[in-house]
Amino acid sequence: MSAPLPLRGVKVVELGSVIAAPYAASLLAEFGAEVVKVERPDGGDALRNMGVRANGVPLWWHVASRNKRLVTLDLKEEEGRAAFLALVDAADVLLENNRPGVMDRLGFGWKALSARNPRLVMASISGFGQTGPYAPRPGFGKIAEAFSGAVALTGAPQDIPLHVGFSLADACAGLAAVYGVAAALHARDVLGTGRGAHVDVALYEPMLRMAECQAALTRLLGTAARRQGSNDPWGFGAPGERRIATARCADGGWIAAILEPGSTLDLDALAAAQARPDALAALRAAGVQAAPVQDGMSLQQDPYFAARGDVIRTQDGTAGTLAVPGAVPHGYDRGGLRDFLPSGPPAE
Amino acid sequence: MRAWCAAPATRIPNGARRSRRAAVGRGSIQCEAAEARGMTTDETEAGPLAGLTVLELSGSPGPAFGAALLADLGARVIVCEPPGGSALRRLGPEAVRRVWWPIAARNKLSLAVDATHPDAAPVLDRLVGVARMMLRDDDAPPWREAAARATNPPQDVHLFPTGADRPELWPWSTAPELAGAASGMMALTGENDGPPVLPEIPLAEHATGMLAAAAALFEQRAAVLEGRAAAPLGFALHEGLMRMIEWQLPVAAAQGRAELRCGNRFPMNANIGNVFRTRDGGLLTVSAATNAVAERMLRMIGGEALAADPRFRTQADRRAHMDEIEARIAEWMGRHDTAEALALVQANDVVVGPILDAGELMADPHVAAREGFVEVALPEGGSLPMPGVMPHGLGGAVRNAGPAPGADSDAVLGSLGFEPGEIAALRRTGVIWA
Repeated sequence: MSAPLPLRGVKVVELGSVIAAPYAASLLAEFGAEVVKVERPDGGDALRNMGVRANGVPLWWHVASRNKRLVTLDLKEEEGRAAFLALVDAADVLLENNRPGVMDRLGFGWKALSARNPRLVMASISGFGQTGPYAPRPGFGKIAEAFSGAVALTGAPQDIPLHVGFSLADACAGLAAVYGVAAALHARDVLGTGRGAHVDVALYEPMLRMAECQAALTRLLGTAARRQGSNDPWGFGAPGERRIATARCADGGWIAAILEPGSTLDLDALAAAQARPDALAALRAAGVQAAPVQDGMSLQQDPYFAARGDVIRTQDGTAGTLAVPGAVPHGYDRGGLRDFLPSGPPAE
Repeated sequence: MRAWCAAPATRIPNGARRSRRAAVGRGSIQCEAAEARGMTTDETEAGPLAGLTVLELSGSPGPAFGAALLADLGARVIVCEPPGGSALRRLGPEAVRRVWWPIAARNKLSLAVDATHPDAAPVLDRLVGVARMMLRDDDAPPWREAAARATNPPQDVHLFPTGADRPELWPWSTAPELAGAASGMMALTGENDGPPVLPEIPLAEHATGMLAAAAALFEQRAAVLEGRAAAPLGFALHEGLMRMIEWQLPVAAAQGRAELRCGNRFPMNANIGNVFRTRDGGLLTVSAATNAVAERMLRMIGGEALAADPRFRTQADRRAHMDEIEARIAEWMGRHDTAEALALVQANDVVVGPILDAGELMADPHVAAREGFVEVALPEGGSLPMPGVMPHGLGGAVRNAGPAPGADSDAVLGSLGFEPGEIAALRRTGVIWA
């Protein structure tokens, strides 16, 4: 299958900065939308300066901005405002993650923009959402993760709870905004309402939704659901249940295994005695479910992920040869899309 | 008008947008099922996906979560349960089993159908004739055969465990529970000298389920607008999370080594962020991801002198001196009780927040104001709290908890045009088992 991208012709304006709205816009671009990212004149998106660089090229920024067109507008000046409104008037989707109130103060609130362009779908992502007593508060991903209940459900019970080690709340909020945009476009164009909608995502809400059993379990058990180590999904590791165990192999690679109740397997000893492929083979021979714990390097060395298109190789004139994430789902004709925002002259 | 009760048109008009009027007024099995459960409806509950019928052919959390998101926004999701019921009813220990199905199958209809029964074809044929999407987690041969026979088959959306598609490249376990380990997320989570950790949430499955729901809707829309069949979509369960971690591959390629877990610090130690204990034992998360917030944080704990300290001025400076910065924050936290610390961070516009558990979340006024949890009646009596509809702004509602096996068999079959006598015969032969 090599199907045409489904969002061909859909125009998206992104007024976003680290991390949720830019992530949402990059997903829409990978479904074929034409994304124009609007940046402030004073240095633009802070994502330009985050994380590791290669030959001076900020890698995260160049992945997060691939397939977008970038414009800088001063929204406090008349010319910049007019240009922004011209973009929004022609747009199907506006993505933004400013603190609630900022868009209204700029004159770009939902009511104003929707009155100009009734077909507009606007997705606003903020720390605590557009309504409720905490709406004006600043919110970053880590605060949202802690607020969602998910951190309390991560880590060993005797230790300080853990944040998942990447921008989980931001990325989940970006994905939830994309889902909201998909539903809103469906209503507009398939149900045929002809009208847009204002999608409102609080950074913590997608994770609260994903941790779907936490409140009910707390009610049922009479005590808050608590972290129990690595127990994905719900309930692994409870007495008499299967559990997920991890161990470090002789070559430094980690494995995760599902141990049945009553298992007497010494996973640590088995792993410590051999390299990861041998340890995994031994576990498979013993009928134990186990798999490698992949990291950023092993993902690009394992042929499975390259074969699926999850890992693609790209060349940048300045940053050099890199591995970057492929777009999902696979099977679309993405021949016109970029793997990496080019940073310099073409590579030799 | 009760738009969400609308069943879909049985075929998509070529190149035309289906009007709301056309979508409403056809068979309304969801209404009948809802009314049978004593519920009332109104248009505010319609949701943007009214008229979309989805078959859930899955016993695992990924497709079930994606389908639940669709059902929350008004899609008519029919869980086709094999004899014995969906495997999702039997996952986890007893306490989890009591709550997971009511939540995971909320807003859905249960059809108890043995798809492998030799006489099942008429039921399957009519189902794939009205459904616009089928979400599955395995090969589902009878369903795919029925779809192949149909003149207007539903879109095929397949979520499968990592490695199941390429066994020659993946000799390891294909247990869905290990998808998080394949995404890179697990290697990034945990203390820097400790083991990799998974959260106690089926995060990989749910993230991929959400991505699949969005992708399927985009494809449905394009297919309707262009008057063509919706393309099939396939997802390995690690792919939702893996796509989220945008930097892990290029950073590893550039460094020649993977960036790994570092406790509660930011990945790549990008700026000030960690968990600290207050004087009264509370745990607070600090997040100063931008220069402006980092500066306000330093000013709050150490005045202008600290904010202007050349060792902490830029992001690179702070990364190089993170241990020292964290020691200063820890000392400040240790001098303040939780409530006092939170008041000060609010006054100083610094970004710090509490680590809440579900009990605290349920008591939080902001969560309540945004209907973060809703109380949903159970078919057998009583009720459970479950997350409200997300995202906001689109309507939708939580109308009912996960149904008993076959609770909607009669209503679904009736809407497909089966007469009561035919339904009774299907039960007698075992095609319909509840």
